[in-house]
Amino acid sequence: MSDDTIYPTDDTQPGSPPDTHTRSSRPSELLADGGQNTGADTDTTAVPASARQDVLSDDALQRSFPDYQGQIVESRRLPPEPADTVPADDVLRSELAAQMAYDLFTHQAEALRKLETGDNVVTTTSTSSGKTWIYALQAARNHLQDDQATALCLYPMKALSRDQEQELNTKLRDDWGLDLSVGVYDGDTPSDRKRRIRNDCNLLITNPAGLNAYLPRHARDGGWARFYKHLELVVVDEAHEYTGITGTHVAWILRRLRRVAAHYDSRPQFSMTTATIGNPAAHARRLTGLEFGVVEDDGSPRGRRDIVLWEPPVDWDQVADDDTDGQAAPDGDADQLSDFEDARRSTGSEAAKVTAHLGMNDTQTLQFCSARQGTEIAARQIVDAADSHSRSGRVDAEAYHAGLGKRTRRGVENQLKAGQVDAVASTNALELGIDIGSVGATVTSGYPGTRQSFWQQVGRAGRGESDALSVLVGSTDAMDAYILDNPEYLFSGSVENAVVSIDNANVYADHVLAAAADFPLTDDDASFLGGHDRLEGMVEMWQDAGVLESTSSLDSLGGVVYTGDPRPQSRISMYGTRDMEYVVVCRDGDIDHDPVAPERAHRDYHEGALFLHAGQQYEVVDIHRDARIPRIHVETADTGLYTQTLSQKSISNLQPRDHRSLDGGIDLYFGQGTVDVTYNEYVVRTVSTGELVEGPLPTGSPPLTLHTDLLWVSLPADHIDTTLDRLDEPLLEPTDRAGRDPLVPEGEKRYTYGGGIHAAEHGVIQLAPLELLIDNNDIGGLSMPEHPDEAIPGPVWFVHDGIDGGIGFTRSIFDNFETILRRTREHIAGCDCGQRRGCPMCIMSEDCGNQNDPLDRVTGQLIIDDVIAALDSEAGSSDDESTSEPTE
Amino acid sequence: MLPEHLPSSDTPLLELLVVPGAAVREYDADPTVADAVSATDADAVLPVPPHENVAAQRLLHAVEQPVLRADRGMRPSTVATPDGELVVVAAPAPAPDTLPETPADLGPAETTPRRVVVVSNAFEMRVVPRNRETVLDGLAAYLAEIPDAWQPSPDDSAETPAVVHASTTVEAGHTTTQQLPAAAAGRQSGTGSRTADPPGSAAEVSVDILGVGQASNMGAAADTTSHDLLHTTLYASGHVTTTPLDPGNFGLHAVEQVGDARADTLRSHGVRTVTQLRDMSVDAVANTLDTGQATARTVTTSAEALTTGTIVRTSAASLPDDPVFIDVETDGLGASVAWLVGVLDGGSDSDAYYPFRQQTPGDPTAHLEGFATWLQGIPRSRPLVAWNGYGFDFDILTEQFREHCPDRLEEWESRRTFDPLYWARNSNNAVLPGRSNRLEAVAEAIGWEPQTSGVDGETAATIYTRWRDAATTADPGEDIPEPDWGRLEAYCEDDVRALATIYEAIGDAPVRTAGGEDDASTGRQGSLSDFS
Repeated sequence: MSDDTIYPTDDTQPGSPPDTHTRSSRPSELLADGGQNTGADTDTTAVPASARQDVLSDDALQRSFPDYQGQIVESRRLPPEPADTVPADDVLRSELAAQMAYDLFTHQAEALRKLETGDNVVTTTSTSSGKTWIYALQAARNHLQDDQATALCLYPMKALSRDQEQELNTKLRDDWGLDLSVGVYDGDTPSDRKRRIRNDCNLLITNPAGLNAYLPRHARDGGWARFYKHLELVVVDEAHEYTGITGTHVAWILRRLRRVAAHYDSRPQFSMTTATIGNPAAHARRLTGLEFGVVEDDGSPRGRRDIVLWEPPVDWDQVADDDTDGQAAPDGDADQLSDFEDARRSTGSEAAKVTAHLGMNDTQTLQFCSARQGTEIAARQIVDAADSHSRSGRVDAEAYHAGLGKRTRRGVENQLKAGQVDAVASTNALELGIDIGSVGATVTSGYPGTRQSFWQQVGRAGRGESDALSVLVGSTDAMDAYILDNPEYLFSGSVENAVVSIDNANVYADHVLAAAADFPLTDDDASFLGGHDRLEGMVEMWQDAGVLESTSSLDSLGGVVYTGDPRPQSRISMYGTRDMEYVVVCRDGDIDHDPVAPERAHRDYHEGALFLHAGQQYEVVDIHRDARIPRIHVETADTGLYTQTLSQKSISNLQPRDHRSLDGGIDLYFGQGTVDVTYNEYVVRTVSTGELVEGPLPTGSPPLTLHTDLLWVSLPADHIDTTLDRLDEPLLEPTDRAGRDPLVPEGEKRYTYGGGIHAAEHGVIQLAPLELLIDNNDIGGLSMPEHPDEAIPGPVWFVHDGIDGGIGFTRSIFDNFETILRRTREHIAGCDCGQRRGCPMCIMSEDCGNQNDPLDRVTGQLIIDDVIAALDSEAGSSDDESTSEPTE
Repeated sequence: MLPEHLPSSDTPLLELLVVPGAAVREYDADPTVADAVSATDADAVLPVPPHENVAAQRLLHAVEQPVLRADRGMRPSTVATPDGELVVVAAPAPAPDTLPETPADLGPAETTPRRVVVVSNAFEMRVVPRNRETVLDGLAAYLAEIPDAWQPSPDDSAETPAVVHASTTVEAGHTTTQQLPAAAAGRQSGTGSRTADPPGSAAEVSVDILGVGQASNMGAAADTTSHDLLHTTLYASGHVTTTPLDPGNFGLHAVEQVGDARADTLRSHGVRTVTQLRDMSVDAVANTLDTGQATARTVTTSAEALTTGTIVRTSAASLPDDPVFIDVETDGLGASVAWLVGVLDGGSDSDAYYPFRQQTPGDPTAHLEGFATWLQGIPRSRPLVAWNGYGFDFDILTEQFREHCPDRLEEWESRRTFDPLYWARNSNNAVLPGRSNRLEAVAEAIGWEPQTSGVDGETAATIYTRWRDAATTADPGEDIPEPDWGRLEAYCEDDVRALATIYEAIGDAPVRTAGGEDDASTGRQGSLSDFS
């Protein structure tokens, strides 16, 4: 072990360059995705390399980290990469190249060359690799060609828009001396400024929700016609943000944008940037309906980067374990999850200790907090942890999240840049390209759910060729446990595929209406709006409903005119697939909460529900379902309690679209169906012990019906017997609770098998995000020993999209089912818990509507084994009837 | 139910005020809805979901007119025209034991109504995007349940009244004729003939459907958060018009600067009507509302305008002289064409009304050229005036010129334009007495009377579109009946004259500025600084 290793294992990167490095002659300027160019070395906050590298060495930790128990389970050193560049005048016209003080990185050059040939380009290089340069230079080139040329830049957040406005102004006007104007056009822009921007601006910055509202104004507000007529470039930044339901809406808004541009005879080029995702070309195509060239070979330099995986200790003695098998029925109403909460040291406080330790060692650190942990609490924990650190000294820590005022946020950003704060605890708001300069280290408190997001966070440390250190502190759930057990997952293979679908019929229907309000629909629009048949069917539906002119048709002169209530686009929610969504209002303070779709509202925001948001606990006190805008009224709370919603679910009207018939009478289906779910009751428990305080209480939530995408694994009728015959362990004894729940299978045999199939269902849902950029809060499941559907002979487990109309999540799980199932099998078998009923790190889920009862890890493995064996010798019958994306 | 041709210009038979229960919850039955009833001269009120039963209870105490009830558990209630020609019956559960045996039995003695509207909430319109269809849930069951004589039958005879089936869960104003198999009971119905048997097949009947409420489950199509009152007019021809009315324009809410909080404050001080408010001194209003003199003055001025049907100017700003009034007719709100540009050169009694109308379907240019050429003879100093012109007419014309006559665009864009609605409401230069910003509402509030009836912008758009589509898809030589262009042009003329009337009334209105002094001087002068 050398002195300068930062972690207590050997430096295992054979052939990696020596860890001394020369600072590149490359300036950090070209890397500044969000920052101003000072031309100076940005590593102003960094400390001498030797000091930093010592921070997490075994010696240092043993010596100074309070109660160090060998939490580091893995550490990797990624070697530095030198810059790979191309002379600017190889790519750019001379007057622009002359403005460039430095060469271009190869990925910037490649993207610009592709754009020059007319291709659309998606760039998927690392954080801070200078992606802004690509579209800024393309806009500059367009401007030099035609000084009337315009560009539209879409950023996912308003905060990012303001940041980029400054950045683009600096580059285009100050640095390159171009006479073009840049303006942010969104809800915060005063109307007289909006008018000026419409009339004069070359580069207009907004966000997709804003664009949805502005598109129909093209013929109304003066200036838009000019803008669209000369529109040559559309920039979609941070496109990995557009997945799931928001992605579906963005995909239609971008198609509507292309249609409006075409109305003005413009065919703008698209330049898209995303964090690293597995399927950039497909994602870009899905979002826009256009073909893209991909730029992924990163030419930007990178310093040495150390990644450390940190596992908070679990005190297994604390986990209730009545006998050695761990299979006995737990006590009455105790939460199956609660023991584990106690046994593992809180992820948040552990992360705060790591951050404090880094801060004490002069390494400026950004701590990314999980959704459950508040940034304010984390900042306090960091300061406290520093106080109890064995070295003397103190650490300044600030909190950062989107709910803070603009000025406060800007203040923290500046403090970071200037090195005036040791540590900042942030939500993922700082994951995106807001300029914070360069920090020495990041600490991720709880796996952020995706590799893409994790590496994005890691990328916030170290800029250019400065070294960086990143620590992942694991939390108590299946995905984190999987990663700590299988670190290779983080370092090898591709990152997740971004999942976005344009198949949701509700979302499509609403955007067809909005497009009609943009201007009348004709046959020419089929290429933008889903193909002729789909468009015609939807137009006829709206004509029958009386909101599109019913006497005309797509091929008639003048097209089909919108005749309904004004501004249909204003009734489209970016967060859902129905016309209704709830706003969250805090009675005793401010809350910055996205609107809530009914699918989530009924489950998580019923009256009496307790929930955490940005680290603050709130209680739902009142719900106005019939108000002009439905409202959820909440008050701040500090109860030491949590609520758990129980549900009753049934699945019917199954319509298979895709079917794989496997050996042994096992069938795997994808299709649509009806999911009826009632979140009818909830219980209140103490956070500390999981003890039942109150309940079950009625939620008052009305029943919810989803017509959505499902996959189901259907097993033969005798599978219960054949599986239990092979079971080496005793049958599980039903809990008291199970005895009272009519939906839990009766009898030890069926109870045990039910626990197995339930475990398989949970495992797949919890580990699916390891492959796919999906939010498993928007996926649901159901498993049962038998199902009334005639085509289902025996036990079955379902996975379904939790959003009405579907959002492509289940479809992508179906497409990757084998990989996910194998991973699930491996993980369930290898969990350290040794518990028959599992633990939160393998098969327990905090979203389970049945209080994680029954669950059987052992039987679950037998069931999954059978399905994997069947997949291995797949009969190969597949009749794909799924909707295919129309070619455009 | 959709007009195949222009509706006859007879006077309306019956006026209904449709009241969503949510409007009563958010506002008040008295005086808000009561005020709306009197402003619309409604013959009856019809509470509709959501919360229609609570609303009905409150309305019973607030208005004198009959309250029709289609909510559960009620006996049928009726309202009829004095001659018994048209009867509306609200039948919560239209069934043999709640409806008379035949619709003819509804009329007063010895009169057989010609037309009967049955209002219920028994069937609901919703869209099902996954199946790309619009359905009327419960229609078949409803038809199966109503007495035989009320059923649609294949052979309508003139002897029996024509029955229209209205639902409080179909969007107000929506009309459709469903072709259904005669034995339709027991299955859901799709709307339109697309999902039914081919028209004319033997076992098929026509069912006339009318929406008189709010549909939910309509995606982005319907604003389910709207609390608008709906003024529904039934004509003898069977034609129906529906106008949404913002409840915020009635009762104390109608007064400028009075919102929910101030209305509550006023009520708690015993001020319940606009007339009471008008009679208060500015000081008293200022004290009651704990506000400054300027706001209090706006409140009393507005109350005065509303109760006396007059316009009051609140600033010294003036109107441009020598206006040219224009109004365009289009094929919808997201218009693709301005097929009629009506121009009134001079005052409200001028003879110089010029309708520039598209003559050939498929040629959106000639009449625009005609308008542009005519405009060349008008001095540039004269402003073009359109009601809500900044929100509609001027934009549409700019788009039309840009698309179809680009060489005229620059000339058009250089013309002076003026929007009196914007000038009054957005720039706070005058208080208008209307219960909405609609041209007709403001004009009628100051005593103007329309010369045409039965036509509104939507009807005109429908008639035009139907003609255009028939003409462009016709076989060569096929004779396409022309709409009654004269009446459509007269409707447009009505609008420009209404506009001129308002414009003149604004000019003649007294100025009541912050100083509180009445200024008898009229508001027109040569300065052109107030408009673009």
